[in-house]
Amino acid sequence: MGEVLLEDLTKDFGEVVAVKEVNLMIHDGEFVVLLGPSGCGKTTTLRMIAGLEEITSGRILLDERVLNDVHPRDRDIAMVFQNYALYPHMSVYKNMAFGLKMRKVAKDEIDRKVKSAAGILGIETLLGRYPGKLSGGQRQRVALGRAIVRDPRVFLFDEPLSNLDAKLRVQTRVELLKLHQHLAATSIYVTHDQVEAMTMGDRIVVMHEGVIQQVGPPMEVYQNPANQFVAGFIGSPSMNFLPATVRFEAGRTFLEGAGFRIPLPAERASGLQGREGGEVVFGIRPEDMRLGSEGEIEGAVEIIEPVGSDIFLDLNVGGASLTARVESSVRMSQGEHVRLHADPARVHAFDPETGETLV
Amino acid sequence: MDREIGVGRTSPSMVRRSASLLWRWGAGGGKSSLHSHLRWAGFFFVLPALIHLVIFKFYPMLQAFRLSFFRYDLMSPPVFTGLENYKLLWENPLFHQSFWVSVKYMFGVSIPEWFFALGLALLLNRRMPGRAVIRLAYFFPIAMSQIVVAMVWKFMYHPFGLVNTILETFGIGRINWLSMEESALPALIAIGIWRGIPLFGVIYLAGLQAIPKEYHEAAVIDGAGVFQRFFYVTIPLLLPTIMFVMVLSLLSAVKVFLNPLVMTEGGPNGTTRVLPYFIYETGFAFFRMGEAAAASMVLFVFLFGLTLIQLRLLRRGGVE
Repeated sequence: MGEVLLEDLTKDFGEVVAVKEVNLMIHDGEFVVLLGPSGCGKTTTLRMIAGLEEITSGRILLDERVLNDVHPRDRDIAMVFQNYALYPHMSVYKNMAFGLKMRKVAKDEIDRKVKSAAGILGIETLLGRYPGKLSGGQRQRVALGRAIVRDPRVFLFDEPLSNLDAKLRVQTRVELLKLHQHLAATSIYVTHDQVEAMTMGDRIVVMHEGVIQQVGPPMEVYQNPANQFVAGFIGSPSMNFLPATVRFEAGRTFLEGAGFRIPLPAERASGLQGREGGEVVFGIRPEDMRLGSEGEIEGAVEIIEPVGSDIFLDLNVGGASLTARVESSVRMSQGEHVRLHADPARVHAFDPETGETLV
Repeated sequence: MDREIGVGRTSPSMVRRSASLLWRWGAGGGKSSLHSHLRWAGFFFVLPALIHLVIFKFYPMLQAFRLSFFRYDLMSPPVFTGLENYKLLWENPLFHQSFWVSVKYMFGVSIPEWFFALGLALLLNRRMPGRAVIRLAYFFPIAMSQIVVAMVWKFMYHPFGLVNTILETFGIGRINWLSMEESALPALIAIGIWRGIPLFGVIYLAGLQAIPKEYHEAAVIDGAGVFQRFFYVTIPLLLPTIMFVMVLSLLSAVKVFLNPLVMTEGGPNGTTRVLPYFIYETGFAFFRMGEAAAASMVLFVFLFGLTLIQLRLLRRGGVE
């Protein structure tokens, strides 16, 4: 088992509140990603679970056992560090065996476990080498190996891919997922990379300024963001935000602004009740628009960015900037005026004050 | 663009260019005026240090080596005597006594220094209130002039000095520290240790702070206790620093001269006559310059050998 429960978890460093009343249930075998920009409290949360950071208030439970005063050694948790933290003076074998040695596991048992973990990770040939002689990817595997040999109830990952180059990162991401499927252990993974979060997490926990903004499966968070912060943080290129006014005309609801007038389907407009004439933030993802002469958004092409599979168009819409994704076959020239049709099911509106999702 | 960046700060391309220029200069491939300019500029930068090294270090060393084969009393011209001075030294019981006094002093000072300095550094490496002030206070002994230190300690060791006053409060009688054969060398050793701890403590502290905290955190999660972390993480990662401190402490201890000169004049009965004091006495009190030079050579060879052994250990102990 490996069920982790965070109850009103709070951490402050003097005046600064790093983590504020976090409540989260992580199920056994689940892969949960803590996502957010630097300073959002995700690493502090992870370190509190590991026992490396004292808890100011609240509780952490692992399988209903309160961990607050349990020494990190006795938590049955393994952690993979951002810079791997492999002991440079120990061989790969000794690095992997260290945790077991400290727990006074018998030598032949250590040997069996280290070799088995090395087999899973394909690093059998590296066991005699020192970390200084390994590539970034190999070090990464050794760091994973050191965690695996302990057979912990929970794995903690602190941005483990951030030191790898882009290609290796994608490769290792896939391998990590396979490993998770193989081990089926509870994993809590911290990253600021939303692509990593989207591709790896069973659920994503988006954090900002120490507070959980939203928890949910990746696609749900992507499609139904709880607020403007989540909407803007997840997705690349990020969601477009344009100032708009709410209009009710002939029983229909419109989001109107400089260069656009978007009709909203009745079933999606309920959140805008009583906001007639009020200011909101209109949000639309680049891929939720398509070119069309009848389009409700009008803008001039400023920059054309072909990325191979698609083209990103940077448009000037009523003085604001808007990015749209169009098919790679489309031919465009700079300065050209275009019209875009927004998918009504994918239109978002946020409260300009609180950032709360209205549509 | 490159030029623009180059004016304000160092750009990577600028570093690459400079590195390639230096490399070509080093390889002797430089032909253009810029290359020869660079070569001369580099030479002139090093020149003052080079002149100092040659005039004040290498030349006297060579002269001492030459002098060790001559009989010379500063009055009459030097007379070549071959290995006579070395033979005289070998037969001189005072030289043997001095050599062993130096060895005792060297290890007597260094070994406690290694441990106390490490202890101090470990203490100062912890988070505690007023850490900066305490660090500064510990560093004071090094900032003081050596002659002042020697004078102050001479008064403190006086039969009616501070040390005895303190001992008396514990019911221990007054001891004439610097006049008794049993206590004179230990008294000097104590000063050596007191003065060395902060210096080596600071070096250790720098070494400790260079160890990334993730290693300790990983070890904590791995289940290592305080002592296990110390022996499995701190000590191995501190090994280069430890070796450096060992070499430096031994070398600085064996060169001690001012304290015996000011406080004991090598006495009582030669028990504090360390080798440098023996050399000074032979040369400038007895005017046997050749013999003094020969003793210097013996000391030099001894230190050189010691350093070589330690550098070898350092390389072996180095982190992979």
